[in-house]
Amino acid sequence: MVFLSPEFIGFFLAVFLLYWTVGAGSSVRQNMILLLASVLFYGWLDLQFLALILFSAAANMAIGVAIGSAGAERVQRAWLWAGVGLNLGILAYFKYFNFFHDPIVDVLNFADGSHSRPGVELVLPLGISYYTFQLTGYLIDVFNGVVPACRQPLPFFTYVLYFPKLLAGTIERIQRFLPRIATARRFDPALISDAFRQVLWGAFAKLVIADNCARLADPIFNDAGSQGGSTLLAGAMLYLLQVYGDFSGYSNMAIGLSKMLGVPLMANFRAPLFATDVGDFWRRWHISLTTWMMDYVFIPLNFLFRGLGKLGLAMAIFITFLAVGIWHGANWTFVLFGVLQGIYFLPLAVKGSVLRPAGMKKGIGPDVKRFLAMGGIFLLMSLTFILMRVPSTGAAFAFWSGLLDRSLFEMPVLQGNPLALLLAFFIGVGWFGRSREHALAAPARPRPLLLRWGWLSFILFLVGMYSATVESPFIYFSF
Amino acid sequence: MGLYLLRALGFMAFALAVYAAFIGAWALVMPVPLRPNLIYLRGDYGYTWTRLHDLQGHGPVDVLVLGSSLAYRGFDPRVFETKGLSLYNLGSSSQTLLQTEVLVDRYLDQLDPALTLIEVAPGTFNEDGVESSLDLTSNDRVDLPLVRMAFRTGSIKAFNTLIYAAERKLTGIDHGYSEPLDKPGSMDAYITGGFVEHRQGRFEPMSLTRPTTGKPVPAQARAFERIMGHLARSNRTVVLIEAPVTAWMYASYRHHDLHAKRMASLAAYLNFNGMAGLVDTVDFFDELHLNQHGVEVFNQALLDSLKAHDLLPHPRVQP
Amino acid sequence: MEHSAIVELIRTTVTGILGHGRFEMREDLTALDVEGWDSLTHMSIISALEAAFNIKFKLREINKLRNMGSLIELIESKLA
Repeated sequence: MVFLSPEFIGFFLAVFLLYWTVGAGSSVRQNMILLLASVLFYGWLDLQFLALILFSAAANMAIGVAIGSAGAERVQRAWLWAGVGLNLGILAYFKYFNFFHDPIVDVLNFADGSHSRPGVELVLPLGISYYTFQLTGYLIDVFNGVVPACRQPLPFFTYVLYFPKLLAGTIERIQRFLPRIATARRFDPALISDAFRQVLWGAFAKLVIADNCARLADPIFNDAGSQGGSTLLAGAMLYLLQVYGDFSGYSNMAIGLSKMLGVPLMANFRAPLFATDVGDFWRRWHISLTTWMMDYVFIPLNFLFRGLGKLGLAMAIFITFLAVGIWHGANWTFVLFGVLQGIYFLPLAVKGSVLRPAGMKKGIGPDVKRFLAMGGIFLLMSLTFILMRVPSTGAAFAFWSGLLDRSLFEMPVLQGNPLALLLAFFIGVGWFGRSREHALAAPARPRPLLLRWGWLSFILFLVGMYSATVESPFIYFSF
Repeated sequence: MGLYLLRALGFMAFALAVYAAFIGAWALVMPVPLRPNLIYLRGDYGYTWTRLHDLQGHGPVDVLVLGSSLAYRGFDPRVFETKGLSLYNLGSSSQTLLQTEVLVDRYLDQLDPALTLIEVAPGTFNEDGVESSLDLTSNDRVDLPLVRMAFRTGSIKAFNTLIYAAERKLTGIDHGYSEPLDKPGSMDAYITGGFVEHRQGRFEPMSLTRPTTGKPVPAQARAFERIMGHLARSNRTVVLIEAPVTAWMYASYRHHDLHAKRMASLAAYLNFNGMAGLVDTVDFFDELHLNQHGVEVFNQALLDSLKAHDLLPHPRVQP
Repeated sequence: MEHSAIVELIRTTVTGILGHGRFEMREDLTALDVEGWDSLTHMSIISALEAAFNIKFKLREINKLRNMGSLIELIESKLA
């Protein structure tokens, strides 16, 4: 994985030292270092599409200025649509071309069998789903007057290309990001220590939890047809834990690295395993995407349908989740994923508790009712998230029907592995740190130095002892 | 910032100490399945312990052999002895160039060979070398070349085993240990000089699927360059040998001509695959390894070939 | 419509949607200060205000709202 490769660590160390010495005391110098490092980083990983991200940033900046300078709303609106069209056009071309193309070919094939599938296998430019969303949100905000058009290339390009969040988010908002890089960042030992803890917990989640879950889940999914019901269920749960470890691990590393440069990013996961209803889950899962969808898809739709009452609300929710599903990629499984999440939301919409913020109660353990609710949501999401893993909707239905079998009540077939203990540790630490920014964040009352260092060293040891040694790539890079 | 970096260094030292302590504790307390990244293989397979500990105080030899199991199961000192040549076989289980380098650094000067044979199967260049690094770490001394090797494999397993091996050395726990030479259920016999003899067994190809070879590992190519540089600097005669595997296996090697071309450009290179006199079902005990009859046929052909190329050294005058 | 009448009609409309009147009509009152005034009820409140004053908002106007003061201002500008 990129963040843990020796090359990246060397690169980051160089940037870190340069940033806090040469860059110290000047926001311009610091931002120049960040931008230069980001361009190098992108070029190192994906040289062929470096020009595309630079073009996207330049075009969106120009369109933002055009919207900001136009007097008439009609002209502003035209520029907005041009910009949104450009962004979504680029995204659609790279991400969805085959999706929309194939069914047409299939129909033609059905007619006379002579049309071959297109030979173009389009490669996805790195981070495209993330930076196009950031830019699109920016244009909408400029149009709505929420933010002024940014006229300075250095902070704007830094915002778009900023390397800690480049690969897979967080999907940052410009109005949160720009103020953080507007003034010189000061070296803050407390923030950097916290950043180290966050990166360490991210590495634990990725290397120990996600990769080991993958090891057990992969063989189950690769041969789903011949597995018993209970094994399939275990596979589904392991896969959800894998995705969670993978993506929250990546996010914690990205946020932590950014903090080391004095730029805190937004939270992306907030203990979603302890969610007690579907709405609660989505307020805790991939937050930078769901809040984006909330602001730029759900609210406009909800506004549009406001005369229709609960039906309008239901429609807005449904379309929003469809968008969340399709954002993940060009496959009917993702569409079905969105449809199902929309359906789960309908009871909440009718009850009117879609957006009720759920507080996390203090205390050692959850009460029985909450515990059962958490279990129920975990089960529901496990069974739904298999759609991100199976190759087709047909395979998903086969998977679900495979569950409904007497073998659901047999012991699942899993290899002996310390994973159960590690998961218990992971979930336990997550539970006690559930109301903090990340599970290893220092508690309000500081502990003695030896205890803190010992605890972090022990987690370092667990990473060393239990990292799965055959690596699997980050799941969310391909989305 | 300077003060903070100092503190960070302090933490690193502290963390390393805690880490090492837990490694020791886990090795004592945890059953093997519960410590997946700590694998200690003392006297486990391939007689590495005996081969390397027999070297203590060993004098110079005429021929030194390095390489994987194709080496330690393929070059019999007794055959060379018939020509008056002494041979030490430093082959070891799954040895890759990263480990060969450690052995060259450690033992070349001591053994002072007139001829060095390196067994170079194409697959070796595609391996990560982790398995053999654990073997070597568990069965010989802990020194700087070993630490460098652990860094170069970049495997956390190599580090953990290295820390554990160092702890065992410090506590002297392995002092006086000798590897049992009779391993239950094994057809192998250890022969003085590093060779492992396998008398019985016939290769039966029916149910096997051929393994596919992976991609070249850059660290291996770099290690190979360093080894060749080291040997050249000390004016050693080197011959790269491709020891015979079954024709069935050899047929699955892709791009073999590229490998052969590269080897031939670096040093004298002899490929014994396809040589006359070896039959898959008679002279091999599995898809890769010769049985004793095959070894004798191969070694005879090797001696003839070295002689024909004028590469065979004169026997050292024994003091 | 008088300023005070507008304020009063907003108050009764919001109370009608939320089912309670536990808030003060201060200029700097924000949705966060009011129990139950979240992104969801927000749209119901907007919709109810449109009906009560017989006006139509635009989304960008809604997005710019910062507090009760700006809401009152917006409605006054629509009625003017």
